[in-house]
Amino acid sequence: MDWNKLLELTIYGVALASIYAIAASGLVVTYTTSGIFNFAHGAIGMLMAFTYWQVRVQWGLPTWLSLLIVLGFVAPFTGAVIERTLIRNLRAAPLAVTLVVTAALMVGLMGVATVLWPPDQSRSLPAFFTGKTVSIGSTIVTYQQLLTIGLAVLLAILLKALFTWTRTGIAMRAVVDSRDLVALNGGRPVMLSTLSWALGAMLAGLAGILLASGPIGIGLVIEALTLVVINAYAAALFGRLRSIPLTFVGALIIGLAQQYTVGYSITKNAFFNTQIVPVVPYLLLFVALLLMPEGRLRGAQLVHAIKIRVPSLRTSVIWSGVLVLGGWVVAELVTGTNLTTISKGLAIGIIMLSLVPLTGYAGQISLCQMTFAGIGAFAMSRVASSGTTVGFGSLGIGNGSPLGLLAAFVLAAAVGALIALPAIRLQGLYLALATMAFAVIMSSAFFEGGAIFGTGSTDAGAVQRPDFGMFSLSSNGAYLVFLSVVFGLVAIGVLALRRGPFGRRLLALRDSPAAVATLGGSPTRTKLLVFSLSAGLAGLGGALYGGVDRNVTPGQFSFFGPPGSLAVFVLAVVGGVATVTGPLIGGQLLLLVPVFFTWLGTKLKTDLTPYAQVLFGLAGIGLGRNPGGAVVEISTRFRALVSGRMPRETEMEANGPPIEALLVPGSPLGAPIAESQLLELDALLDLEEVSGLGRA
Amino acid sequence: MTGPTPGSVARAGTVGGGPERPPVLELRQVRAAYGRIEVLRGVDLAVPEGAVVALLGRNGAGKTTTLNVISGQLPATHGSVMLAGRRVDGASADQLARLGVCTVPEGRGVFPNLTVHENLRLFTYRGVALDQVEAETFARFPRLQARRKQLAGTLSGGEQQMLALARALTTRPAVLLLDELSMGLAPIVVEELYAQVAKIATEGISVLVVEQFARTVLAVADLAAVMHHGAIHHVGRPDAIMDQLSDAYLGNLS
Repeated sequence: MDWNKLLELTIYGVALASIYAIAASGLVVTYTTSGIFNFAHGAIGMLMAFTYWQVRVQWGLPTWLSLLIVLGFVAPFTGAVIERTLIRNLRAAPLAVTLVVTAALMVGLMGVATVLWPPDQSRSLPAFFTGKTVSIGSTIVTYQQLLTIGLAVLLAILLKALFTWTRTGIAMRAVVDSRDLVALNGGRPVMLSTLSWALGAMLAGLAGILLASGPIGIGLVIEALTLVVINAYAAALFGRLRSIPLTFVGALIIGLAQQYTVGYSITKNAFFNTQIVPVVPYLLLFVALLLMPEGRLRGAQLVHAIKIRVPSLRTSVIWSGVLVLGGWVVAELVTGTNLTTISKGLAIGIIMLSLVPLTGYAGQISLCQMTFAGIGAFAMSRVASSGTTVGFGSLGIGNGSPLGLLAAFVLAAAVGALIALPAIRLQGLYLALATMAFAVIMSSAFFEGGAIFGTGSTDAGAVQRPDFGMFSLSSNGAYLVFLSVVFGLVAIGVLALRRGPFGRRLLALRDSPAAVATLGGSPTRTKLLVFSLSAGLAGLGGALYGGVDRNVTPGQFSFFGPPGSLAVFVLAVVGGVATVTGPLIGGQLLLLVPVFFTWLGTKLKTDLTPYAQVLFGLAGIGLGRNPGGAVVEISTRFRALVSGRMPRETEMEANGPPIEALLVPGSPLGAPIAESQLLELDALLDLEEVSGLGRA
Repeated sequence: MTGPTPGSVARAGTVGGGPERPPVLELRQVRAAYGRIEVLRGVDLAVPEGAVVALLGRNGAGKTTTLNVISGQLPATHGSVMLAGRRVDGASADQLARLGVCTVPEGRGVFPNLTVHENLRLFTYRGVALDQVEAETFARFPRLQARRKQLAGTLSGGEQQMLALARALTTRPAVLLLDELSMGLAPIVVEELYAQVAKIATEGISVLVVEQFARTVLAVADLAAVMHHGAIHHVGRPDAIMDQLSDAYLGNLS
């Protein structure tokens, strides 16, 4: 046993853990007081590290002053502004919307950083106490490492003191129990929320600066810094997003595990080293989630009721026909890369359609749809080809056999069921994070491994287009028409599902899992089924997506992409994930907006790509104001415009009949209600009072 | 901020027509709505200084909504809320709490994940020192002293309501709003709690109480108001209300 090596790795691990702990406790502080999981936490840390570079290196201010400016002013201010402008509006919003808004904020902030600090210049932060070290035995410890560990310990003590000894800290914890009661006591929940976000941003900033100046070699790289802070999410999960002490324990486990896996496997298995080690935090995140005790089944809760029409079979068939016709016109008019871009957008649209039953109807969140898409593309490439020799080999059924599509659906659905089995009992946010961990792990350990889609030079990434014999899909135009047909068919199927008994069960599952259970249904089985179906549809979409270029690369199926699972989820929700038109728009947005910005950039002779990122962020942030998504917003306004009044409500998104139905027929709103209808009203109002959402 | 003065207890008297000093709490033609459903349709109500006023009515009559408007949790769409003669509608819940409107909401007046001590700590927003809050609370409810470090969520229902009531007892509010103090509690505990409410009133604190146990509350009330359909229909002395109104109209008399 090499004790020196162990000691060295331990010190490195503890120093890294300290940074994770600082970042994770910031996440916990914001989550507990606002109930919103801040996906942008890592991006805030990254932005603050760059701001620190600007002040410290570019402007040459002394270290202490730079730290004071960034951590004492810029970071808290940023956090407070984010809370005031974005987070405050999200209190009654569904989980999917809150995730999309903060995820979009993350992308937006990354865009802002790219605009302000273009990556073509390399930057670095000086370490704190450069060159100063102490020796423990023959192990050399830098002052920076000691400082990092010391800061984490100090923060642990300060946070503990804040939350147990100060009234403000106690009130921050009290907000978790009941926001209203804090106000009734005389506390200001609104101020507490702002304060917690300011504090959270400060902690993220400190973590970002320590990472960027530290010895683990992240440096000032936008993506890397953002991602490493995400590792801290796992630590926060160990504390169930509530407990600061457990969060520190979680950080220690992750930091040490990461250093030990790096340190002790360097010579053994190359695959393990390059593909597994980087995702160790995510593996631990997954484990932490699976160890979580099962939460109580949630009862009914009223979220913003959004009115969405469900088209009849006839209507959906007609519109699908229109879509195919439109696809044909586009195929005739557009050529070259624009045509394939539109085709890819449509294929991504099919993948986004897979989120409609899962997220739109059942309210479950999956951040790994592109993983399933990748599995679908993999199945297609292996089943419907004859030549591939890399990795798993080929079934060799024949080039472009439609059986490949079936295999894509079945394999993805099976993997979906497999991953759902342990994760499905998790609710809401935890399921979302589990799927994120799955996406990152699969991306690194499966797709990037080289055995699946090769490493670029081989033909392993080749994905055939399906071949139906009589009509050839070899031209890009024909393939676009074919994609339109598939999109239309899937949309018709999804809508048929929505109108049927299974669709009703999905809505019930979203509105009240407890009610589903008490009525004798199994929330778990329903979730399993819809998760699996959704994975299958994503697999089908992935196989078709691969066919557009007849080739795929591992990066396409990663969490961040492009296109990536996160963007697929965000834009599906932005488009309107409870409708089938939303995915159509979302898919095109995802593909066409970057192309447009690149085109505009070449015209203006500047690189506009970062602005596309910022725009993407703004789109998601705009969702915070129109939680139904673009399609719902546009169609509501359009109908109001056409008819000159607000549209007739055919269906309430929330369960139960529209409130207006309780009124005496024909009587204007606010008129007396018949005695016999009072009881129904009681039930309705009691519900609103309990959930606290009735107050406009 | 008007400190209530013991002794100037205005017993009985007509509601709304205050003698020399304005009522501690007064609602004039208050309307309020949840979304587009109007729940309060012109509520007129006055709580004289040091009086216990019981607000009765069947489910959905608007009792809790009335309390929500007074406590600042729901904005009134029309009308005014006066505290000691000054308009306060439009003030936020925390401002009103600091002004001395003490609300004990239905069924959940404590923070379950905070200890008893930490719950008491949050009483100090009104301006009374923590030491004093603790001393007075434990003097009234000795049972809570033994549970000082215990999470409030692990207390019995009665103890939780005691803790909630302790805020009213120790922070010297101008007016106390109680919503369904009895919810889910044994009748004997309810009697105990209302004995404390009566005591609070003798100290000059005005109380507005919403309660299903009409008999219990009418025993300690100075005035009773019956709500129906979002408006006050009858106001009178408790015995008169008891006699005049049929059980059916009141819903469930205990």
